[in-house]
Amino acid sequence: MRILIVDDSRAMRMIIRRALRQAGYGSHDVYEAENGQEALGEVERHQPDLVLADWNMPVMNGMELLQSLTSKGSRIPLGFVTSECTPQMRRRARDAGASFFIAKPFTSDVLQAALAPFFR
Amino acid sequence: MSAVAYSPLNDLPGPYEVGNMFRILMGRTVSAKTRPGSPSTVSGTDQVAVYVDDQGEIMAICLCSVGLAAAVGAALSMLSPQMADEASARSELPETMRENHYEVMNISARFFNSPYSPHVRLQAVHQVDQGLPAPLRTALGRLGAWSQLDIEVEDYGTGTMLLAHIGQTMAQPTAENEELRAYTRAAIAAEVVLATPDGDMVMGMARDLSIRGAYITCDQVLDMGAACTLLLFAPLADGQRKVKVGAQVVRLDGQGLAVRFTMVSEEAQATIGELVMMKASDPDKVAQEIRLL
Repeated sequence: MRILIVDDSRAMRMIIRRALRQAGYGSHDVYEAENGQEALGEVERHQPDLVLADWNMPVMNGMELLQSLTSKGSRIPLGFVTSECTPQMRRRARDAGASFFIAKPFTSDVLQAALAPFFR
Repeated sequence: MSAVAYSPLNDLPGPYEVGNMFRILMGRTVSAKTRPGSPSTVSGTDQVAVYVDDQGEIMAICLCSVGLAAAVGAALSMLSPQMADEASARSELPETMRENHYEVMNISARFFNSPYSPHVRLQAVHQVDQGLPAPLRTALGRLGAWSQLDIEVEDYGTGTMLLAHIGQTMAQPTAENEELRAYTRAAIAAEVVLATPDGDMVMGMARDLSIRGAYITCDQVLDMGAACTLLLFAPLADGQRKVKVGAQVVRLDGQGLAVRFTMVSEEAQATIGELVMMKASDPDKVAQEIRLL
């Protein structure tokens, strides 16, 4: 599996990597991008099987990334990992086709539960 | 049964919630204790995080001593503890530490968000002696309910944190399911996963918990009356414990949903009872409710 982490915070990307290891997904290939625009390039380059994206990012936010991928016909599952977690945002994410929504901070158990369906 | 009076005062997190969130973020031991007395005088090197509502109105602040900001900023990305010490001594945060502290303050917005209050988000973090915008200076003179903590980040140092609402707005509870209201509800912040028999899965945050049900902020994708399995990550004193119960959605509102527990094992009931007693203002009443179950 190839996993793309998209977050403008370097520390948060590191934390997600750590949580992936703790959740038992440490053996997979993990790539990183700082924003949605950069992520589109990484998607072209690595064809990830799963994208974990922050919501609020400069240049291109997570929702714009999801919409851009969807408009190109991408079927790569994208889940949000974000500190902004209002019910309205969750609804918007789901309506736009997001696969899951995780609020920061999260434990490796929460990440494991969210990602398990994609690793069957 | 009289309604629970929600207010910013009892919505603010205590030492356990703050320490637990920092522990999850930093992956190391973080201890937090209530600091007795009035809020400390603001020092020039303190870092003030400003939280605003959707109209840009300042609703809350989180003020960290530079020592705590350095400890948090260094621990988040595992910089050396020595770097935190040096930054604290110089009263100046290097860029990475400043970015990391900002991220922690960004996530800390959840301390001020509840189903009963306006949505707030982090607007900015300022160092006091580098100049504060006029609206923030005014806001600092109008502190409402507050919680002040001494926090120690393992290996990285200590400092103080002041969480405060601005002004004294009292939020009102929404209409509740009367059966659930009959049980003592404790304010908590615990991750949950709701899974329906058809495979739909919803992540959420349990905001209050009784021995018979919970209120959860989450996406409202479950139907009224839907049966589900609820997985609760219970933040207990000795660490996090997973609890799985059968549940049914009994109320939906604009912020989330309330569930009634329908199938609870003895072990799960004991864990839920332990958590409610730990968080409730009247543990004796909870103990009585458990005996009468």
